[in-house]
Amino acid sequence: MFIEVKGAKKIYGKGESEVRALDGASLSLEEGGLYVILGPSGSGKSTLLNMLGGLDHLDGGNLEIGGVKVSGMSDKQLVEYRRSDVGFVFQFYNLIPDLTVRENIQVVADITKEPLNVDEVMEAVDVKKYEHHFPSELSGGQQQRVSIARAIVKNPKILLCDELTGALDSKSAKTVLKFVESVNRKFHTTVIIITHNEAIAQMADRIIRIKDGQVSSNEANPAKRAAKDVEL
Amino acid sequence: MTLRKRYLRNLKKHLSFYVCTILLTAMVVVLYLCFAAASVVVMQELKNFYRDYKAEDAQFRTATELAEEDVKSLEEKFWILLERQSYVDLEEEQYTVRVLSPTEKTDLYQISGERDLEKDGEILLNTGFMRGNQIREGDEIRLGDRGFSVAGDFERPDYLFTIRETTDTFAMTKEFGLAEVSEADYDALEKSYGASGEYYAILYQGADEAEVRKYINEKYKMLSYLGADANSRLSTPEVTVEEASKYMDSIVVLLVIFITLIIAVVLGRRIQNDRRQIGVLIALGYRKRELARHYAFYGLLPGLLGGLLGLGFSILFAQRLISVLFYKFEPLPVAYKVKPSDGVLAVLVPAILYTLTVYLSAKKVMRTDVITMISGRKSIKEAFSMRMKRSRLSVRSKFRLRQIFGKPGRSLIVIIGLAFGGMLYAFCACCVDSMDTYVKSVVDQIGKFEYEYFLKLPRTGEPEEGSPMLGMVYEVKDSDDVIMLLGTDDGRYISFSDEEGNPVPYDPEKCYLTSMASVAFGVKAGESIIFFDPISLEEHSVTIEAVLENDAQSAIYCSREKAGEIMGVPGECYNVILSETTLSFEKDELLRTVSKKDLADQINEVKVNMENMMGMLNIFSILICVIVVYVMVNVLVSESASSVSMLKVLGYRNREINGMVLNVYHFLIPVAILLSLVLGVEGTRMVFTKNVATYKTYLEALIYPASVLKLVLLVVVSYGISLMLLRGKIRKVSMVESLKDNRE
Repeated sequence: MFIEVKGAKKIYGKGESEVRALDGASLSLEEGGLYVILGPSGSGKSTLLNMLGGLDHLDGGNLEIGGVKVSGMSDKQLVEYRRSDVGFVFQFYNLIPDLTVRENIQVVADITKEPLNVDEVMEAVDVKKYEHHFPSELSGGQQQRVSIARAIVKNPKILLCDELTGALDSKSAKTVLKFVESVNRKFHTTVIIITHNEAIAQMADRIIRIKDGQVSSNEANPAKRAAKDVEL
Repeated sequence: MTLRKRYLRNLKKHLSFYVCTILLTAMVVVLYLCFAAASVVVMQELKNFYRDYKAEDAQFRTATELAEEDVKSLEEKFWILLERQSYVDLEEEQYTVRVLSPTEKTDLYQISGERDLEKDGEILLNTGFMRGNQIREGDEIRLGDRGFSVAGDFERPDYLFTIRETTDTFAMTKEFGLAEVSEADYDALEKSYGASGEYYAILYQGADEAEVRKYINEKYKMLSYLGADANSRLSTPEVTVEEASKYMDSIVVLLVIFITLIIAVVLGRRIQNDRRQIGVLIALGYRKRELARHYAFYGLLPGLLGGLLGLGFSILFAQRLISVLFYKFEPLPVAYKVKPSDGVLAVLVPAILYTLTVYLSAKKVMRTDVITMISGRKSIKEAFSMRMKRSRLSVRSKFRLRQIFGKPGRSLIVIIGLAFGGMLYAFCACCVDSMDTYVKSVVDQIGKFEYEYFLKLPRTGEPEEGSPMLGMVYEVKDSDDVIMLLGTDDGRYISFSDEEGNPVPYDPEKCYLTSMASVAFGVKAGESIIFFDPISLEEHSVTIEAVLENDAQSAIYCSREKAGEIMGVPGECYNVILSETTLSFEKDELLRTVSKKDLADQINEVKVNMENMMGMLNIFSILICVIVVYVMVNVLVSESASSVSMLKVLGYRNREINGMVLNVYHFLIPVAILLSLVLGVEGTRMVFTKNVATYKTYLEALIYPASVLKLVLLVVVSYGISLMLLRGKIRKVSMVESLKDNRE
């Protein structure tokens, strides 16, 4: 398995205010798939994503990606892991406001050993025409496409998308999903989308459901649809 | 209101900022209460002490002794207080003690210890001498052939500056002491050893001074007259307090302006960064007025806490701090306590200023429409800046350039912070360096002689060695200062050059004024100066041909003949001899001897005063520099938190993030240092201009390269320490938390 999570635990707070964001979650996923993790608010899906992306440490359990044990990595090792293997797309885009579209993508290419061509990536997500715009001059959908471009320019092994359409209208959301799908196909990138939007699950190879910090189901999606056919 | 719960949370969240702001405010309050306000109070208390303990208005000697009846008749005639005073100097192995005659009408003493003299055989000593020699109450002290039991210590208004001779510049507290004994003991001492000096002390109490002096001179022939303003024992404490007051006033005003500005800028930016929450609260139905009031509290808090902290510190330590400033005098007989009105002012002013600043910042933020505020977007104008479309620079370089030039407000606060931090130090260094340069140049201006001998009686003809001069001290019309009239024929030891350094041809028919006198009395070349004989009060006027560069002495130079005319003695007389070598005289021939070194020491004392005052300020300046720089750099990190967080998520190493976010401001340091230098030097120039009357010269403001180097080090080290501390903060910036909050 490409991604192997076993008994993952993450606890925030202490005593009465203790919150078990992950409470023994286990999950196995193959390389190159497009996965959707579903769950209600507070179920622990964002925490799981943070762990997969090396943004935080587990309090218990194991996490291996591509045969490399991510849990137990030091902060410095996590930096290197994020630098080479992970791409992030966030709900609120999180572009760097002081950089133009091209520069927001280039800033990642600069620290990547073998980045993809920035122009090609921009064209792939159709933002080339805005290359000299600052984020504040773009719409939400446009910003999210830039965010995808930024994530994929390093040609990551995993693309992690946190509620990537949460701030978009349905038309923009569908466009963004199409780009994510194309990245998955074109670059064979493992894509994990976390969302509470059930409709997005239609395009997944597998649908993982999380509840109370545990994986309640991990099932193949026999009725997988293309992003363009997803009914949002 | 639930909203108020944010106060404590905000305080915890930005604890380091609030701690720094509170400390800065407290320091300004301490400077104000312990120095600026204290100087005013000390001055007032000093005047009260002089008044209550009947400090003399003048002292004089007469050729004909005044009998008790004469004194009584003079007092009744003019409603004055007049008292014969004398002293006996008893020289012991390690020190000299001046036993002062008991006084009843003038120059009364105040007991500093527990008790007064109660019986014969007891002695009171001045506080400085007791401390210097570790003498305690109840100790025995032997003076001459008599033993005394120390009853305690005392202060006298005419000896707060305990110099042996009025021409001395240092109070040697360990080597020279004062004593009060019972009348019987004093009489016995005077009988055994003879009076070392005697004079009449006078208090005019509103009587016409000129009329009294004229009458006494006519009837009893005055030999000397020394007004309180010309008596350094009486005038030095007042002048020093006044000087400190002027300096501290200027500095505190500057500090209040700059620190308020800095805190206003920082708090203002904090409000700016809170605009999304403000927008949300408006959308929820809050009135803008309510929110402005809510945010105003963020300013009130550090202002009030800082003010209270400073007030508390001042109440505890004001007396100690102020005594450090006036270390060269006897402990001033002033129990300085913070005046309630000053305390209230010190607490309220920062609180009001900060509150107002934040209130106005909040109002300004709320001028933006609610949707823009909620979106958290910045203005389009800012977003469009520094596009650098065709630039071939790397992304990191563009990022750095935009950090600096794309956000002028932020860069400005870094520059202001660094510049202000350094400014106070530059100011202190500039004051000391300027004074040092002045002292060095002035010593050369004194003249080429090494010794100046003042004879008791004038002589005629020429001395065997040295250059003869005819000199006398005069009082100047409409001034408290005195001037020396010096007649010289060869002028060989006097530097005849103007203020530009050009030689001035000496014309024996003309009179020349030193630059110090020119400034002190406001007389320029071509104008006349009017002065009086201090004994006969006869008025004289001379026209000044040229002003000579001499900031060491206040004097008029002319020929001996002209000086003789004015003084009413033959022109061939002399009573002063200038010499390059030591000359020998009989003991009773000399009134006093002044060496060039003495004069240099005296001038140097001005520098020592300055160094002492600035040394104290320097401690504050270094602390302020470090705190201000830390606060400013802290703002940078806080404002860059989202970018830092994102760069971390993208896989940037901490070192790389520091390079992009923090280190970009390195090159602003030289700009800030330059600015702090300009501000420091200009500030000094301003203060020197204000103090022309005190120094009787226009001091040129300058700073030594070594001081500039120290300034650079101070700013760079402060900046470095701040960065080091803040790098830890960068490491702590949470990737998860700030991502949630970032919606640019």
